[in-house]
Amino acid sequence: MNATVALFLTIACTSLSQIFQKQAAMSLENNSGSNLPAGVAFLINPNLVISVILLGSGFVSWLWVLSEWDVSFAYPFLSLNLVVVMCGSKFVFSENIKRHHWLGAFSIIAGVALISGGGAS
Amino acid sequence: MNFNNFALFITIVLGSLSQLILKSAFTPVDVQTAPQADCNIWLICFAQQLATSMFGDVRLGILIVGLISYTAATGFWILALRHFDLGKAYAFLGFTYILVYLGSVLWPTLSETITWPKTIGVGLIVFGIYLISGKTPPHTPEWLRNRSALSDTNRCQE
Repeated sequence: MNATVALFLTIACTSLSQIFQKQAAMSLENNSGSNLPAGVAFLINPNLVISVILLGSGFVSWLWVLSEWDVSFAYPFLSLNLVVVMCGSKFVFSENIKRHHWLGAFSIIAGVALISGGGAS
Repeated sequence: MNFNNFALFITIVLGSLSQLILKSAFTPVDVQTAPQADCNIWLICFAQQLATSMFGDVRLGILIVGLISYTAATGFWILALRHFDLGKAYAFLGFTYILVYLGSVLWPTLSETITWPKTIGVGLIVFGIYLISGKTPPHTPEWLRNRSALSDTNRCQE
């Protein structure tokens, strides 16, 4: 597996993790009728467990990227996370995305494209 | 500086620092200081073998220091989020892209290069994060604002 695949995995895992965190936060809010103590309900919440697993996997694949690429080249790619989460918040949670958010997303994508065009070291 | 600002400040500095520490765990070392960890402790031995089989030449001690500072930065982030608007706090996270870039150049064992694509790219990313992470910024031209003023009011009440 090369670093590009690992980077793709990192962004996919960390972005998905944030969407599951949001899902967990929402399901805990709606869970006030449960018999379980709040702390236990929090720890065994499936959304939260999935988000933690995804976060861990994202971290390991990120280490993989770092072992091959310069950090000044690799780290900016993580900003794509915000773009993915923005799209996720629109399509999963139907949040309202405004024009300046889209402009921000394009600015991030342009920055990442410029850096990736410049080469890995 | 109150505690909330301090927590956000620590998040940014420690978060950037942890990336540099993690990267420096993967940079080659002098032959004399090559990783010959004393494998008296079973767990350390196992962790070193696991890390080596996954990432090749890696210094476990530095990796663990990086992991701890990364976790601590996340902890301070959660503390900061208790008092800051998520969008406001996120806008400041853009600074980590500048700090990691500068740090990777100045960090003695990394000595990465400054290039135009990286510099302009990081600038665009920081600007993009500022725009993507918050409410409509002040002085935004009319064509960029949402046509309905209602959605902005709703957002403020959240």
